[in-house]
Amino acid sequence: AALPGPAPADWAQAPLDPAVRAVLVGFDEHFSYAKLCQALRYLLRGGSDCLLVGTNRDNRLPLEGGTAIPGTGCLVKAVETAAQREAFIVGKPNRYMFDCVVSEFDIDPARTIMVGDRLDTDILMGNSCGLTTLLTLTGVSTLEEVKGHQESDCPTRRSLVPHYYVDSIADLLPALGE
Amino acid sequence: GCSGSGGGMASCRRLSGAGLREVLGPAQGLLFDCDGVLWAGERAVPGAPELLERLRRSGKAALFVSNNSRRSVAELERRFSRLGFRGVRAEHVFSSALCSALFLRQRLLGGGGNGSGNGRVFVMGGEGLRGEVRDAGLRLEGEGESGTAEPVRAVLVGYDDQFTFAKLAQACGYLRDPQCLLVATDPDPWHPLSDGQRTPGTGSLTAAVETASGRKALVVGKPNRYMFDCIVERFGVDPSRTLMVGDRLETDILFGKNCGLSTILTLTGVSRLEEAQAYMASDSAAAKDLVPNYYVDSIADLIPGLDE
Repeated sequence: AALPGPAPADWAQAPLDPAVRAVLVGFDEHFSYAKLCQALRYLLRGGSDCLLVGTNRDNRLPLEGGTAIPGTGCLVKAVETAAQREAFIVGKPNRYMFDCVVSEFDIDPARTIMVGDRLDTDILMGNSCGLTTLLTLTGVSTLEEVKGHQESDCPTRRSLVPHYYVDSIADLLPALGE
Repeated sequence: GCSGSGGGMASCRRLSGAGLREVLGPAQGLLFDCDGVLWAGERAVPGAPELLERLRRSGKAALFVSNNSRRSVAELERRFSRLGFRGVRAEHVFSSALCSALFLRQRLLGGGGNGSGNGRVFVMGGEGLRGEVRDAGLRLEGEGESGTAEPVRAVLVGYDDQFTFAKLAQACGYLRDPQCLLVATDPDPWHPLSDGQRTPGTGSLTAAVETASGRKALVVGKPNRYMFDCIVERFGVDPSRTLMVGDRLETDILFGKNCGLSTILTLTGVSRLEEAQAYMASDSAAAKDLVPNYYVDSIADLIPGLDE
């Protein structure tokens, strides 16, 4: 519903939908302070009875030419900070989506490969779920970053290291039969 | 007495009776937070104007330090008057809007304020904040001659009720230049509204900009020291003879601790006594810094500690 008036004092008077029991933060190019206000109102009204869910924490979405736009992670952080509570994150590197896949398909992690371009989402999820992980270099993460994590003493950083890498997924073709 | 917290943790003692005179007697001045201390919304805290008047008559200084980045100090001077506080002038008021502008002037213009270029500031905030930045001699992105090639040298995040994804993306564009500063007026995650609800604060917007840019903001407001440095530069305050009075443990009380001031928590605002006591009981060293030396139900309770 449209918010009355131009200012937060007005927005705080708009009626809240009594049926709302969750705030879901996804990629929103129309994110605004007014929406952030409403999210905060629902979360305060509901307390632990109102879920706070984020689709993912990616901080940036890369565009062609090396630029990037802000990712969903920024909007999730804004809501978490205002509400002083942590969101449940559905997306990688959390395991929820893998659990969804497993519940629909018969997956043996020992015989499944996770292919991705981002160490802190794709590879981390794959490693956490017991999959073999394959980094492709056509996207966000670089080999230099992998080497940095490999040489680190920090176990968290080492869980970002893939088992294998390729320059592009096209490099997999020769391994497959005619 | 009111000497600054040397060793040992503060003990959150109720200030009343003889204790009031012992603490207030030696004080040369008091620093007050505004929201939740002097007023709540459009209503002065009962007795607050009288307290300021009694301080004036006792020859004690009253200065004001607020994280609220919405208003210019000129607007704040009018607000003080409208809510019944006499004799408060703009020069006594240190808002995060003013101090952010002073900070940016130092960093971008070397303190000269001669407005001779050296870049523009992208301000994410309302007209009060924008005015303070302009008054400091800085140029704002989006104003003045179009087609200017002057780079944006700082992104300033304040309370911005017109914050949008588009502005967030614009800020990130400027912050790709590692020479471009990221500054936030204050860290407050939310502010109370008069009906008990909350509105998001600068801290939540800054978190979005930090996440998108991969940078940490320089935060001007309490609990950081910068606003105290501004006060000392203008008025030469002695921390060991000055009391900090505030309503928010994580900003006002920690600010007092960081600046060597004894602290008084007033219960007419954000923080509850139970929270202060929980910090006192905590094992964490950081938590101890959030415990006030004293507390009162309202700043009106300080009046009996002053001479007739």
